[in-house]
Amino acid sequence: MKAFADAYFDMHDRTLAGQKEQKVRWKRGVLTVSGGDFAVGDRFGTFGTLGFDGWRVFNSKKKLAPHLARHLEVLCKGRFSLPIFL
Amino acid sequence: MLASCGRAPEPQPKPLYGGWGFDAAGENKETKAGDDFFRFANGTWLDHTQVPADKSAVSLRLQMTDRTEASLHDMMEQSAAHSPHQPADLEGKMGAFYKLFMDEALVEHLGARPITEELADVRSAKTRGDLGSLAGRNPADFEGTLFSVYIDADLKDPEHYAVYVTQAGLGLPDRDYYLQKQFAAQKKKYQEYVAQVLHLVDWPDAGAHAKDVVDFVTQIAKANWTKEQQRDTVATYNPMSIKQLRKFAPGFAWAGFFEEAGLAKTDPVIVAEKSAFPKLAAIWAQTPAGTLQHGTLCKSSIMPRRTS
Repeated sequence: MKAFADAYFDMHDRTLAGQKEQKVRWKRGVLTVSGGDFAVGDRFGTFGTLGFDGWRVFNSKKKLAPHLARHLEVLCKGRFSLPIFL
Repeated sequence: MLASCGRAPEPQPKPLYGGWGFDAAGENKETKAGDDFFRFANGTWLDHTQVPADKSAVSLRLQMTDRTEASLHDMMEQSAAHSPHQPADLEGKMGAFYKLFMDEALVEHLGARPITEELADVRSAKTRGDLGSLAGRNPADFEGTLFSVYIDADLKDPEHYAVYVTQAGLGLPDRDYYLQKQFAAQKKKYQEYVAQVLHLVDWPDAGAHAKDVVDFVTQIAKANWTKEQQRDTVATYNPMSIKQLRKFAPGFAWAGFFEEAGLAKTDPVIVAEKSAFPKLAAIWAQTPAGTLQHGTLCKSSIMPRRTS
């Protein structure tokens, strides 16, 4: 309900954090479902209602782990042997 | 991953978020390092960087957050497009949930109905005993109304978990917000917010109750340890049995609290801000049950999510 969302925004995001505008609805939707950056916003945004499950779905679809592993490999080149991570 | 040995090396992925190390382009060369080192090192960046209107901060790291957000958004839109109303798998659940959230007309129509059950629980909690039990539904349904309980690695025995009990109850970020003049505007706004929330769930006399709630929480703030004190890991490690805790901090409904948290048989619990506990329990015992009831309602952790 808009009245709840606006009241929450006005108190927490605007008054306390200095954010000028409320996030558009789809951004709030993503936050609510799967959570967001723990360093941004308040604790209700950190874990979405589905918690880590959003990432399980994401990984299963996009093959995220091998992609990250490749970046990690470059980053750690010569310093670690990659298989210890995975 | 071992299978990759022996293959021709793949091209190195290009870094997504700028180069490694210090960003020299952000320096302000007109400032002498000895006069103001911060401006010398960051002045140009500081003068030209805008905080996006829908954010409260900006950093290189937030580019990563934005990228993540966009990926999740794509995935949710796709899942929402073909998820059934009664989904059986995770992807379907994600899609259905996202689709419902985006249905603003429905959310508007439902109002406070998604928290009907929890509201009824608060309404029917008339005694300090009932309210202590409700407080034990932390953190699932309520943030700490006076105390919070959580489980984490035992700081003195990391092979095992321990149950920690800490001070809680503030709605604003720190006790100073209730006690220092410089935060008077935020405190006033918070009282308005409490009134608004009570009004939105059709609680009568919202304005008067909001004042009582903020006065109650101001007392909590006075009794609370400061953030600096809370960082003392030795002083905040005080194991005691629940029985000892009841004796040490009488006045709070400890039995119902731990019962409802599912931790009644825990021994010991680790009490954090030790000297605050008897004071907080005494505040609880002296505060009218009606005020505790409204205070509890304002600490609903499900309300912001389920009503937005």
